Amino acid sequence: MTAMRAGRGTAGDALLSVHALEVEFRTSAGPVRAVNGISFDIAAGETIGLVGESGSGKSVTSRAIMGLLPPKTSTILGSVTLNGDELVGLPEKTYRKIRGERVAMVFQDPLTALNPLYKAGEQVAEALRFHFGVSRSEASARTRDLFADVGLPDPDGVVEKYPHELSGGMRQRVLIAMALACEPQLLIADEPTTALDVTIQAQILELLRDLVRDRGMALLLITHDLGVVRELCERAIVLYAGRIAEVAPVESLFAAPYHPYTAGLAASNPQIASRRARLPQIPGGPPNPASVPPGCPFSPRCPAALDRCREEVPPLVASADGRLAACHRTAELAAGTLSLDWEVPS
Amino acid sequence: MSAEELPRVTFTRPGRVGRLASSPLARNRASIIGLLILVPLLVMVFFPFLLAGDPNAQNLSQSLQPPSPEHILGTDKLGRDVWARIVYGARPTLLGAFVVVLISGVIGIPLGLLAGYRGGKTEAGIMRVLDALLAFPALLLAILVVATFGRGLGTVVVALGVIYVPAMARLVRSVTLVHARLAYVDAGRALGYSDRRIMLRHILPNLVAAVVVQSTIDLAYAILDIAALSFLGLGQQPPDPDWGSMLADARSYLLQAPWPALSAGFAIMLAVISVNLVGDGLRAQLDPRERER
Amino acid sequence: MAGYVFRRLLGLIPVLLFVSFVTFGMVRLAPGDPVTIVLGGRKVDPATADALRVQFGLVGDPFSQYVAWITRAVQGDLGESYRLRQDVVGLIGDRLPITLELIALSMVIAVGIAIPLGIIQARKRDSLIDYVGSLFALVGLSIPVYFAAMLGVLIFAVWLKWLPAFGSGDDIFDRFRHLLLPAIALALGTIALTSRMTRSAMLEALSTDYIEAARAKGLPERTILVKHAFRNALIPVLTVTSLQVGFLLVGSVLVETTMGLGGIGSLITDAIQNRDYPVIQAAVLFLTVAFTIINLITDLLYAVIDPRIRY
Repeated sequence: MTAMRAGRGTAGDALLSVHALEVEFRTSAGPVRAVNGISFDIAAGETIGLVGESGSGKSVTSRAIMGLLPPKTSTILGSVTLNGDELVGLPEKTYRKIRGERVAMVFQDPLTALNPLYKAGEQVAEALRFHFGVSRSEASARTRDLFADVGLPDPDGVVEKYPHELSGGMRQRVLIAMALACEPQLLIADEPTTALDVTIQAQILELLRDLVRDRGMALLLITHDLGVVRELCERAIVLYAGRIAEVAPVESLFAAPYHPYTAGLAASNPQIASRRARLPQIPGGPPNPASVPPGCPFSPRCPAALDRCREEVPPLVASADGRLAACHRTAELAAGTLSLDWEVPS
Repeated sequence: MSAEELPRVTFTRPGRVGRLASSPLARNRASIIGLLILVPLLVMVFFPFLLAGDPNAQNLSQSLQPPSPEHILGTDKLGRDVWARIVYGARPTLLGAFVVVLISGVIGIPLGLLAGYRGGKTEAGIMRVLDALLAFPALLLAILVVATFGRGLGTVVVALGVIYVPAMARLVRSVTLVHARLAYVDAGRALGYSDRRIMLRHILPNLVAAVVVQSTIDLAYAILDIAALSFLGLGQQPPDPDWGSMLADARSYLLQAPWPALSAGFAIMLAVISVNLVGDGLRAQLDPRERER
Repeated sequence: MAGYVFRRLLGLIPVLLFVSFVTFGMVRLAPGDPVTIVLGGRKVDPATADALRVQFGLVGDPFSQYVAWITRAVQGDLGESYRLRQDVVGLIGDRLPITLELIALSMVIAVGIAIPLGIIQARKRDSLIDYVGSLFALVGLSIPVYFAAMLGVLIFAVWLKWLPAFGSGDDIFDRFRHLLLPAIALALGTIALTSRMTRSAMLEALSTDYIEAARAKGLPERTILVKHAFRNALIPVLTVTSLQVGFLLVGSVLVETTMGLGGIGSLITDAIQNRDYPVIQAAVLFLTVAFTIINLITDLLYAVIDPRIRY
């Protein structure tokens, strides 16, 4: 379990270390395990992509790191350490200091993530005043600077505007400014571009890349969009049904996937697949977290599934090159002896 | 009413009771209690003679007696049996309330459908009229109408029926708007004349759910309003019993003999509570969002 | 913002015209000779009857009559109570203070109890206090106001002897003691509805993304509750509360007689009993106008709270 540093360029202690994380929710339909044993590290300044479809557990993982899961209905097992400090089980008061100052989050939908009743500037200044105790004028000044940093054309104007008066792209920049305000070491971005127009998406991604580089922050990018991962991330962690399917540096991940799921994702993505007339599809859909099949969770949809796959959960294993994959047939995939026949819709 | 989809509902009596009994929601335990209270009330409405004797029989020598084996709720000022008056007083209040909701539905549902379906000037015109009605506080308008057109249960019921129309019409309109728009947006459905048929097939079931919920709310208010108007002397005229007017009479000797007042007051209260409980239960079943609460 | 206020004020005029027209004209729609209704079944000589006809605009075409009537009304002449031989406007004026005090006190009590209760219920969802609060709301919604007043009298005035049962008191403190019971009785329905609405609006606000974002910023729970969640929850709560003023106005009609308060409510109640139509007509008009104005003020308050509405 200590071999979770596959593909990392820089050595040194991890900034964030997630170890055997499990998250279970109590629902009216019974207990649902959304995250089922995930471990990974993020080093300072690294950009990691957490990739998966809905129900894969990626959002829940991010909330678990931030401590934002509902306390009464969720149970967290395992460990999440930030600079060596354990976060799981921390009292709420302590967690509040960490949120914003050491780890911050950029949310998916900038319209709903901003309080419609308060001006944009006020919502950023609020965080500054609370964490650093600065005066109102100082907070305003810093907010204006932040707005300039995130590329807003008229920082003074935006400070005074309400969220509904701003465009989607501007709102997302405000959200990013809000997350950066207290200078965190780790930035978690949950689908930061999904709710935006395509042209704006590119701008926001570029902004994130620049900011993260200039400030030396680590970035955990949560997304279902492989194109975004390829743009921005050094390493990618592929999640499926609450477990890690594969971890690898981004380039080798798509060029030579070690897990059939990744292969399917790559083959069906227009930005990554080779130019074909018709793109294949992975048949079926991800399992409902309340009823995951036994064995490998991907087996029902996998064209290379063996009986063994349906009975035994494949462990996450490191290959010689340091990549990780949870599949019984990784060796064949890596060697190129296994061909996956995806359905091409007619 | 928000623009979220209401579920399709089929209404067969045994099914509903079965689902109520087996649902884990505490709400439904409460609505069963509501139904339990409602049943004897319904008996009072339809078969009062099974439960008590003559409510108008006076016996001045027995005036203002406390409860006894002979008169389980005592007697009023004119020696009449309070229990009998409560039993017979159920009909004007409860049946009247039901007719109020019926009238508001008969007028309001078509109006709302028209407004939501046609849109444009028809809708604007109808909404204008409804808003005009809403400019008045309900009970005040009812007082004015009944004072003008003559007292009595009939006028009260008709007046309230009309006053409750805007609530029902607006609800129906917003449900219609949502589904009409959905039908047009879905390319596969907008196919010429089958439009109207499809809209009826999709709108109507959802309408039923919304209307039922609104009806229970209105029923509760109607009971209170009828009782209030009777309390003021505008409803059921003496000597026929009515819970509201019983309370008004009983007020003058409240301190000497509280029983008639307490009986009438609690009767009204229990009726409204039971309607509210059943209504809550129905709402919990019909609106999936409510299940989160 | 100023433009919004101005436009709303302007929109008030047609509503007021409409309301007054309906109030004025309804009697003409009655079956039979409208004068009999005005007279309340009393018999008078033909000359007096004709004079009344003119006063109530019952002769000639409705519109010119209405104009004449409204002109008089705006100048403060709403006719005369036939029975009491007094100007109706004077009657209303005398009794207005008590009704205003009653409604104000009732509103303060209602909001003072309902909003904190709703917030606590939302915060401690499914706890004992949530359950008891909901139970209390159910009873509050289901009890007729006048019955609540009677129960209050029986319990607090007769049995416990804490509060007076009747009348409206002399000086300020005594007035407060006398109005407390009817104000609470009146407030019960409003407390029920407002606390329910507060609870559900808070629950909804607390489950939004911006609350999660506020937590992600590390803000303390109290700030989140009050500054962020509640201000958003205030909007639907305000809707309910403004509707409630209408109910309070109406409820005062029912409660005042029960407790011997000399307000506009009991004026109406007495007028109904005495078939004093001019008073009923005038008082209903007055209260409806008050209702309309209060609704407008609430709408304007929305615009203060929610910047999205100002345009």
